Amino acid sequence: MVDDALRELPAVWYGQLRTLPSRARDEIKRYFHGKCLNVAGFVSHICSNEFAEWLHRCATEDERQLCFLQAFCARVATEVEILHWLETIAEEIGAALDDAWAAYCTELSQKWNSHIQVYDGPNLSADELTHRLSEFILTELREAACLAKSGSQRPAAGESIGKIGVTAILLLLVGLLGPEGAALAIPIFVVLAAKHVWDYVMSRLDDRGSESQNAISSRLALLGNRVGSEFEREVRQRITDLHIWQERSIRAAAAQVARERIGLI
Amino acid sequence: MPPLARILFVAWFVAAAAGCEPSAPPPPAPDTRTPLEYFFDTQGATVTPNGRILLDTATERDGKIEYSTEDGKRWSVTYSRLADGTYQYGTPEELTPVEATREKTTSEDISNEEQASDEEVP
Repeated sequence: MVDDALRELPAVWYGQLRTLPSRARDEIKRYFHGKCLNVAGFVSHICSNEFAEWLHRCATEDERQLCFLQAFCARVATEVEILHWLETIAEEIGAALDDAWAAYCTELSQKWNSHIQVYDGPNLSADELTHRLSEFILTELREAACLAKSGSQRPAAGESIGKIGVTAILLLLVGLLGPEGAALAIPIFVVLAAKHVWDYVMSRLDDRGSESQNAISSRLALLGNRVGSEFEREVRQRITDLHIWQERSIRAAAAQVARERIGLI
Repeated sequence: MPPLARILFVAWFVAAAAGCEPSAPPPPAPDTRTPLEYFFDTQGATVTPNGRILLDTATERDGKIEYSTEDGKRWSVTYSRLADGTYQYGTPEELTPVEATREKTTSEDISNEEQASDEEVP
């Protein structure tokens, strides 16, 4: 039963890993493309004397970087908007994953029924099999969500475990930056990608001419590319984790079904 | 206080009370540029994740700005006019090659194509 189940799965997984992460990357790049069209206000702000004075008042490097992220979220894209966009992409990709999984479960129930029938066992409906496999995967998802939670980080999915595909993608980590109560909740991969822009801005603090504005605008475009690449990597990792849980669920369900339907064998 | 000065003081006081104080500087004139003109003026230095915007490809169609980027892709973006007359842009949609070529309906494009096909004839 397990051999039957796993024979065609690698092809499905390969197709998903080939198309879905790159789709996620292109979507997040498109989002940043739109932000680049409205970036003039942000660029002139971080090139202003006011922003430089604000930075000088920060005591530590972390505080300065937080200032930069706050300015970015206030003038380019709010953290709520970024998370909302990620959720929209995750829903789209999650739906594709769930649809493929449901179709696969329907096929699998037919294959397994051919084994069960030999032993006069009652048939296994597609819905029942999907439900059993989903329960196994949901347990894995809950454990992964618990493990991901730490002091200043949490999974983007939050506490709720809803549809499997979306939740699996939204296990990507969100960092809580800044003082409690007024912290910015930004995906870690965005913070990592923004660091490159931030380092550049810091290196040009004393040179804030118009050329500098153009250069910062270019760096923001690179930020879109970096965020896209980081998001692609994250989505690939999340889909790979899901595939591992799917395989485990199949092995566990096969053992369970064999015990119930084939009995002594 | 001499009578004339007293009269002037009273006149100034009455005028001020009636709202004739020197007025604040007039607000800046609203931006009257069209959406396409504004796009031309402000996006010349913009770099997007798809490269620079090719300004000479920008057109306005169906209330959206369409433009190409350095990587060869063509985009359509919505805009909204802000109170100060400037514009804010939405998230652009990538146009498929079919949608992108549909824009070739201007007389300039058609005449260019005709000219090109004429040149190919030996």
